[in-house]
Amino acid sequence: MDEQHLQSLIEAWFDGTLNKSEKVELEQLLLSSAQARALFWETAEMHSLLCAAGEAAPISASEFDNQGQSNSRSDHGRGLKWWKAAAAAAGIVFFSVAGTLLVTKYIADNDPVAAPVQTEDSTSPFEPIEREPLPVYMAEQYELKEDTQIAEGTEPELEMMDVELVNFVSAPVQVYFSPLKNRMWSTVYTNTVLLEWEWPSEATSAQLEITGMNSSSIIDFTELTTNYFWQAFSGSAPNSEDLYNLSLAFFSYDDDLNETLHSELAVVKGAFGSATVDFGPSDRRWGKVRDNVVIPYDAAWYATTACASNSLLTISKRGGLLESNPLADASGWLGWKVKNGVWGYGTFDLVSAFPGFEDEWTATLVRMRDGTVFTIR
Amino acid sequence: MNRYSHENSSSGLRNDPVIHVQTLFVKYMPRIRAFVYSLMPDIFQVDDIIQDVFLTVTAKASDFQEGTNFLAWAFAIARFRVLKSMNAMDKDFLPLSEEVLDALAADCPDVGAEQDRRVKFLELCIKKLAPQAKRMIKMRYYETQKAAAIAAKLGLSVNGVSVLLSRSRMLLRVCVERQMQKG
Repeated sequence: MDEQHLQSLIEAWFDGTLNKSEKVELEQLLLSSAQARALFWETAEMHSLLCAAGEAAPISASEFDNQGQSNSRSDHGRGLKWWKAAAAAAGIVFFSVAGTLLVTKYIADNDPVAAPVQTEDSTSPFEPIEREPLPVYMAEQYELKEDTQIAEGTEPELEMMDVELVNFVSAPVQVYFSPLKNRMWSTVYTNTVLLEWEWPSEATSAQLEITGMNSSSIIDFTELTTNYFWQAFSGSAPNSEDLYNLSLAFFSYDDDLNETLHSELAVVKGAFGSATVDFGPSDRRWGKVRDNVVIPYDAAWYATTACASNSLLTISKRGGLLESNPLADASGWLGWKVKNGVWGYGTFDLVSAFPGFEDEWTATLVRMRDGTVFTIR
Repeated sequence: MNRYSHENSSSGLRNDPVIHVQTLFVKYMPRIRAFVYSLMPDIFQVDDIIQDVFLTVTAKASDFQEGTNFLAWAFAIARFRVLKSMNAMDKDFLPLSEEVLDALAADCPDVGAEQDRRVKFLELCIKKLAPQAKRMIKMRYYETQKAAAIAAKLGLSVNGVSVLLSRSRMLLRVCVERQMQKG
């Protein structure tokens, strides 16, 4: 037996490059020789290990080659250049004054934002990148809701302002909208989001903190600034879903906290194109979760199940943690930080329960080290 | 909730055959996966096969007898699922025959053993590869591209890509074994 030839046949099998005659030859060798089968398994082991390594850490070409990475601080000027280009391309933004929504055109020549000092973690999606200008897609406006009670340590109320759409090329799909209260999380429909606010007269500096499940970022403003273009993700559609809490704190001369604004934004893939739809228990499709999960729920159930005022999504790990999430407060989206969180691997039971009602919605998930999740409904 | 207090107890886990086989599946998952990767070269099919194996194991939970070899049982189910997937794939794919799969499975070594440790060493070894080889391994396994797609992107022949991948895997195998011996 020509071992080298056999090796090349086995390797070709794993790369899918065998032709018909080679396949027949390989099969004959594998059937007739224990030595050939041993070599097959030796070769298979490395193929399998590489698959496992790739599953565990899918990375981009530039990361793998350690090329093309940019440091957000050193590339700040480049980031601004991109930022202006994207802002110009975005073309239209919404503008909010004293609670009234107005539509206005963004004039690219007028730099509306002071240069921020940005601090990012290594996985931040805010890394400045060079790319083609964005098409005029749609405009959104997210207002940071003033929270005057934060100083007393109370939780801010979460609300979303009305969103109007202008010049969009395709209609966005509004999902999980509550007919009773417009309390759903704002959904991001573009990869750049204009954040606007009013700068308090007594403020001398501000800090914008954007905290998501996968990354976080802090942007310091050292002079009067009334808006900021936030890049929610790079590329034309998000690679992963996330929920972001935005907090903008204003400080006065003596560094005292003046006031804090809050908002929440959801980045979900369905807002950018097709999304997997599970038609029901008989559907053969199943979920695969490799990253943190954004669990949507229909805030409208608040209206249709009026007695179920304290709806709960309970996530429990068998033999481990149990977490109950009151859904009425989140209104539309709930973030489940599966990755790099406290949950680890194992079997999870998810139960949506409506206190006062016997019926529950349940799902069982098994999270493996490779990120696969099996679902049984 | 009462439901959880029961399921979270270890006695509850042992008494329910479904939960018991699911727990075993989770425990042996890396090895079952390694087995499937070894028999199914199309990486995209692997998740579906593993899912099917899991569902079959769950459905047949009552068939599993405590004290018998769970891994052998799971491998037998996996082998059947691999064969089914291979036969359902498009005509360009050339599946190994059932007879060959059976012969291979009969000689299956301790597949997937010490995988975590091996993967750790593998990552160190990949960094030592020459840039072109590293790039190709990355495209094949981290970006799950097929050899033909890699060849098209890099302007090489499919055969050239196959040879480079083959050499890279061989170097990695030697490197990982050396690291394993060093500990």
